[in-house]
This record gives sequence, structure tokens and C-alpha cells, in this order.
Amino acid sequence: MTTALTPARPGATAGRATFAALAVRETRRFALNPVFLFAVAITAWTTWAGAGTTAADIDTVNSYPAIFLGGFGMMATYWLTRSMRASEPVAGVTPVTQPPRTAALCAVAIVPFACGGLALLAFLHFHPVGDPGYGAFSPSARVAVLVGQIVVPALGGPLLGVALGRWVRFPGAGFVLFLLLYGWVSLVTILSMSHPDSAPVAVLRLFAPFAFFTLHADSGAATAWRGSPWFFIGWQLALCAIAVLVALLRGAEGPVRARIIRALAIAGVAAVIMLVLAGTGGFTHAVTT
Amino acid sequence: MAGAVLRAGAWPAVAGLTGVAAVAGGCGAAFPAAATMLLPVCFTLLAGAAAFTLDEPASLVVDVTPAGPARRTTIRAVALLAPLAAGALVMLAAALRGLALPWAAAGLALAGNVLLGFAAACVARTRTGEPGAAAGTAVVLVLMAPSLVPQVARWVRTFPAPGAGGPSSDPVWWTVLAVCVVAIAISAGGRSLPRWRASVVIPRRPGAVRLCRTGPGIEGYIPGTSLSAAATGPAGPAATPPACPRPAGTPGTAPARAARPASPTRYRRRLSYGRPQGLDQARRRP
Repeated sequence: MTTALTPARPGATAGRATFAALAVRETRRFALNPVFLFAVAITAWTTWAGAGTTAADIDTVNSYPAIFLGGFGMMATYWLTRSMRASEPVAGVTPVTQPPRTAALCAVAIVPFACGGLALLAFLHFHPVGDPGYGAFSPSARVAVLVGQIVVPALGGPLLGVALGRWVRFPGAGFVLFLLLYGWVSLVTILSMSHPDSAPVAVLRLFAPFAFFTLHADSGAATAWRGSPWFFIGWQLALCAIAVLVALLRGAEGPVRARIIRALAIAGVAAVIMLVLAGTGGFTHAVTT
Repeated sequence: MAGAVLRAGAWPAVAGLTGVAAVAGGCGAAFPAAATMLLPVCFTLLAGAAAFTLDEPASLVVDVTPAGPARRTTIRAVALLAPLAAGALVMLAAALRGLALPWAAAGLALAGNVLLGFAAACVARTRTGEPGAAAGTAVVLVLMAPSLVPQVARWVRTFPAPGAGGPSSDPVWWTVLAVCVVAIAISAGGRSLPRWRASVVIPRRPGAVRLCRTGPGIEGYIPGTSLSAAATGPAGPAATPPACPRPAGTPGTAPARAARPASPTRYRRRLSYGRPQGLDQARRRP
């Protein structure tokens, strides 16, 4: 048997090497960012401090990774992206175009994503899937709820920060978007408390990068709200893809730009489908156990 | 001058943030159940807007103008009326919707939020010309800490909750107001040039002397004029004109060089300070 090895194109090899070098450099910058280090420290502390809490406090504890790894990570990558704006006249004339540099910035999201994975493992250690605090969801759906609340926001927040930094010039956009998302999630969650069986309210609640799926009463009862956790993860991943594509669109030219726009349309359609499925799937009404 | 200083402000940032805050606060007024979550967000955004009031893109020029930092800060403080008015309108709307809040404490929280943002900007302005982004982010993180981390809310509360137990927000805001007033007074009164800018020294041309109007006039050293004799006097050429007082440690002309006996030719060369050296020579050529 003969095996034919076709050598890779020299340009592609060089491009991969450049991308890897840029990604490593940006990842180091991100990992040393004080805001991100603070986010990691406080996520670890809150996860550890929530170890002894009751099941009624699960919803309080599992939002910390989304707030700190996702929200603070978004602000950190926003600054990281903006920090290159001043050197754009110099960096812009290098052989590396803007899309590969943006892709290298997007690669730093691996770090908070890994931290989110670790936070999920720690959370499952302290609050096993069999806890009654997760409500009427099946064990697999419970894991999906946690993945959607802990891991995926840690990935999507930094990607959103890169897209924001590429397109928005206002220097305070990072904290403004953080506050708006926080306010929106709070508003739709409170609306869901008063209208637990409403489908439009369920879609509104899921129309966010983070969503609660259960409500804990003081009596200890857990109410599982409408919505499919699995499709919600699909919606979140579609949002991540949209964030990456929007970031890559900046500075893209020619056929690359056309391809990105085409992919953006596909991701947008997928996101809409996932949101509808997430809102209409799962329980048809709120279930209290 | 006040109009020019106000025109140069970062009005898009201040107005934009104030508008976003008004929308968030309006949602809080429209949905009373969410008011205790959205009104703190609104006030925090107003604090962020206040942090942008001192942004000065042309600070390289503005910081060396005769208008002092205290006066500029006072004029720019007028811009705080925008976030304060927006916060007052939001509270009025919430009150009209029948929201039961301790309004005096809420008003104090609003004033404290805005003043905290402004104080952070004042302190950061001594280091950079555009402190809005950094100061705003720091203020937002501090103000949102009790909302984000309930463990912090057990000790400190930044927004008065209706009929809830726990610590009151009033002592926090009175303390913050006092500290902010002191910080603003210190940073605006004794603000010096940022360190990174103060370290920049414009090199002087070699051989040039610093001439001062308090000493003999420049024209006295130009030979061929009516004043040259008066300046020279019977004892020969006058001494080197006194150098202007300079801050200590600033490099410049050496005293030994300035004390050297002067000659008309040397002074002519020195008076060409600021012009290309070859200009005088080219002028002398036929």
C-alpha cells in the first residue's frame, strides 16, 4: 500500500504559525489581566463559599461564574481589543491582516471557558445532580441547565467583548453592556415569577445570554419554569458564533467578507430557530415539586 | 470661557449614558417588582455618566492654559445636572407609579452615586486627560458589588430597599459624600500636570539663553540700535540677562554658560533661537 503525503501550502502553514503565535501572546495578556484574575478569584471563592448552602440557594450560586467569568471577562477582552486601537496605524501595515488578529483575540476565550468547566465540576461536587433543588428536570436536563448557566456564558462573554471592542468606539461600552445585560436578565426573571406559564414571557426570559430555569420558594419547593435547557445551549452557542463572526467582519475584505456575511446569516437563522425551540420546548407549564 | 469649556466636554458620552440610565430606570418604574433591581442599575449608570464629565481630549493643550484646574472642574461640574435631573425624573416617575421607597434615602443615594463618579473622575484626571472609561468602570464595579455578591450586601447596602432589614444605605452615602467632597477639593485644587507629561522637557537650542523681560530688554543687546549704548554702558558689555526663574531640577542653560562674557556676535546668534541656524547666514549673503 502506498501512502501519498501532500505537503501543505506554504502560505497556509505560515498563516497557522502566525495565528498560533498571536493567540499565545493574546492569551498571556488576557490571563494576566487584573480584572480577569479578580473574576477567577471571586468565582473560586463564591463556589467554595456556596458549598454549604441549601438547595434553595443554588440559583444564587450558579450565577456567579456567568457574572464574573462571563461579564467581567467581557470587559477584560473589550479592553484587550481596544488596547490595540492606538497601535493600529503600525499594526495595520504588517503582513497580518485584521481578521487573523481578531481570531487570535477570540482564541483567548478558551481560558475562561476552561475556568467555567472547572467551576462546573466544583459545583457538581458541592451540589450533585440528584439534589431536589434542581426541580423537576431530568438528570441530563439538569446538567444542561448548569452548562448553560456556568460554562457557555464564560465562553460567550469574552467573545462578545471582542466583537464590542472591534465595532464600538465608546470607551465605556464594556460596563454599559454589562449593566444592561444584568438589568435585562433581572427584569425578565422577575416577569417570569409573576407569569410562570406564559410562553411569550418564557421566550423573553430565554432571549438573553443567561437565564434561570428554576425558582426556589422559602418553603423549599422548587419550581421548574418553561423552556428547554438543551435548545437554550444551542441558542447560546449560536450567539457565540454570531459574536465571533461579527468581530471577524471588521477589516475583512473581498471573498472573506462575503463568506463571513453568509455564515452570519446562517448563524442568525440558527439562533432564531434555537430560541423558538428553547421557548416552546421543555415543560408546557411551570412544574413545582 | 465657561461656554468653551462646557462645549469641549464629552457630551455624547454623558448624554448617552444618562439616556440609557433613564431607560433602565423607566423600566424600573414601569415594573415595580423589578424596581429594586433596575433603579440601582440606573443610578450606577448615572455614576458612570458623571465619570465622563471631565474627559478632555485636548488636555495636552488645556492643562497648560492659564485657566486653573479648579475653575475648569467647577465649570465642568455643571454637566452633572444632566444625570441628576435624569435620576430625579426617574424617581418622580416611580413615585407617580405608586412605588413605595424611602425617597429621602433614594435621593441621597442618587446624589452619592453621581458625586462618587465625579470624584473618581477628578482623582483620575490628575493622571490622564480622559479618565472617564477607567473611573466609570471602577465606580460601576464598586457600586454593583452589593448587587452582584450577596455576601457584600450583608455589610454594605448602596440602595435603600423598602422595608427590608439589614444595614441602611444612609451612613454609607453620608460617608461617601464627605470623602468625595474632600477628594474633589484636593484633586482640583492642587492638581499638577500628569507625571508622564511633567517629565517631558523641551530641549533648548545649544548656546541659547533664556531672556526675561524683568532684566534688560533684548533690544539693548542688539548692536547698532539706540539702546545698545545704554545697555552696554561705560563698563563695557552688560552682563548676561538674568535667566527667568525655573522650577528646580529642570535642565536648561547652564549658569556657567550664561555668565560668560558676551559679545555682540554671540548675542546675535543667540537671539536666533527658534529659527533655523542657516537663516541668518543666508540673509547675510549678498
